[in-house]
Amino acid sequence: MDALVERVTRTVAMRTSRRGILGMLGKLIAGAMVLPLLPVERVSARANTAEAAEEGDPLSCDYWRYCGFDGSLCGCCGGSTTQCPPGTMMSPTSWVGSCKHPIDGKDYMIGYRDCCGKDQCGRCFCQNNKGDMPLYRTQLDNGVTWCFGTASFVVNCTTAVKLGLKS
Amino acid sequence: MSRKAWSLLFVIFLICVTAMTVPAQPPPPEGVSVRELGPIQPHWVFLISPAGVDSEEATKVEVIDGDSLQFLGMLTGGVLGTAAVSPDHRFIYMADTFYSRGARGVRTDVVTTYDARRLAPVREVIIPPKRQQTIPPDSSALALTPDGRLLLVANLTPATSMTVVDLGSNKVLGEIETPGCTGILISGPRRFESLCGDGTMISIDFNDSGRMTASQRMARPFFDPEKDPVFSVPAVLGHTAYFVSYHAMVYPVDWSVEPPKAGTPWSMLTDAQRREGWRPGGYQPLAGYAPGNLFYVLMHRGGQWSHKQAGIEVWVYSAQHRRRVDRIVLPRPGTDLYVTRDSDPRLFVVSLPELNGPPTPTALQSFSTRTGRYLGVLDQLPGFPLWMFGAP
Repeated sequence: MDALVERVTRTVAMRTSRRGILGMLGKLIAGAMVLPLLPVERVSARANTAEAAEEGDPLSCDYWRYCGFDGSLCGCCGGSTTQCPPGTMMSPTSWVGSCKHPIDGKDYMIGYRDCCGKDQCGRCFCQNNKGDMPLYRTQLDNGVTWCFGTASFVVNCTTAVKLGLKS
Repeated sequence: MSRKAWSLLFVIFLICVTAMTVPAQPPPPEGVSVRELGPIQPHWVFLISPAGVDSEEATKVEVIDGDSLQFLGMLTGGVLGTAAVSPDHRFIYMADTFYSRGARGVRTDVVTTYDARRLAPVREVIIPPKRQQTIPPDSSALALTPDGRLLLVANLTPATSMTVVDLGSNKVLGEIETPGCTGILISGPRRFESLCGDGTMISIDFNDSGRMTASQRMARPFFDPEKDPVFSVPAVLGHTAYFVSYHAMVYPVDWSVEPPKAGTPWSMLTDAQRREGWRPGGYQPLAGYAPGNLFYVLMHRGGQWSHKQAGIEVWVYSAQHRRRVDRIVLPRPGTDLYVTRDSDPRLFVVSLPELNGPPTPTALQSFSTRTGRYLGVLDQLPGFPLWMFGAP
């Protein structure tokens, strides 16, 4: 799996967009062609939902939250799994994936939020396509540049914010 | 010293003086110029590389002679640009996004017309700053009407619409909204189809003023996006669009009627092939060859969600007979595939670098579709080409 991921990942190396997906989540977000905005405040609030302790290396593409990831890991670019690098703009929008926590075995919603406004960081490219759909399911397309709501569609890297348990 | 000897010395002296005083004749000047291309040939191919490893600000369109496998030149655009060739082969249109300060500043979206022989810009038109920014920059993001008069540019804000540009007057005519539906699949002189999130297709008629005049949507989905999504860009053979799905089903749609009419889906795989895990995949996994009623698919062996994995073989299908008629093993795995439209077609496959194993350059492989024979490769392609197209 790692090898596969890395391989695809490399190809994506260029910059690209990102966003993973979540088949079932699609239903939740579906009608939202209009705007998948997840205001920052709401995201941080929900990120505190109780769950098992973290496990794994957030700088590795096989870290559990990255099951739908597509882009450079912000942790390798001056940010972290939940922080954008200095001087970039975190998009208030994202696509949302669903990944299984390795410890409690539950599925969590993960918001793959782009950090925009600086050129591609280029480090730690990671592409996992679980749940990735074509553009007609826009909210589930990790090939879209999710910089809506920021001042630039140039992507620096991508975060993976835990939004809470999948209901 | 004899008189004769003195004379000889004098002559030598004269020669030396002359040589020192008369400037050396410069070599004939070497001609310098900027090369121009000849007319676009049937086996020329255009590759869109939206970015390099660490930059996404300057999309390249690479022009390649598929016969000699020579790199002929390129265009340089902006963020996630897309491009298309005019039906008369005189121009290349590129839709781009630029920021006034590189990655920041004021955004300008623009359609630039390039002279196809000089690969140089000749005019431009500013369009609304909301072009669709997606990977790959596929052919459903920028489309010409068959007469070459109008250019449609896909927008994503993420609300969806199409900007209509009149290439004759070089003006933006208007915008057609396609709520919940994406992609410009040209199906008539003034008609395009879009795929909708519920698995239906919508036909949109428009006029020379760039306004929608009618739209009809399928009553029922022709595929189930939840269970088996189709890749966005079909192989178009005659009036039928053949969509291929993640799980290797073929979904034909007759778009000569409005709304488009779904045909009977069929599987690309035998039970044995399905057990072996064969699936379509890549960024541009499908190409049609209308004269032969054939379509070509990049195939790999992988699990669910491996739909962007590079293909290791190209499988060729007869649309009429609903079965595989050829199988081409690729020397290098490929992510993009294109077939030319002439009577002696070439199959081109782009290979991107792989992490595991020895470093490999980005390359374009060429095959004869008649024999499946491997004809050669062009290495060291700039950037990461994610979409290929030819002249219409």
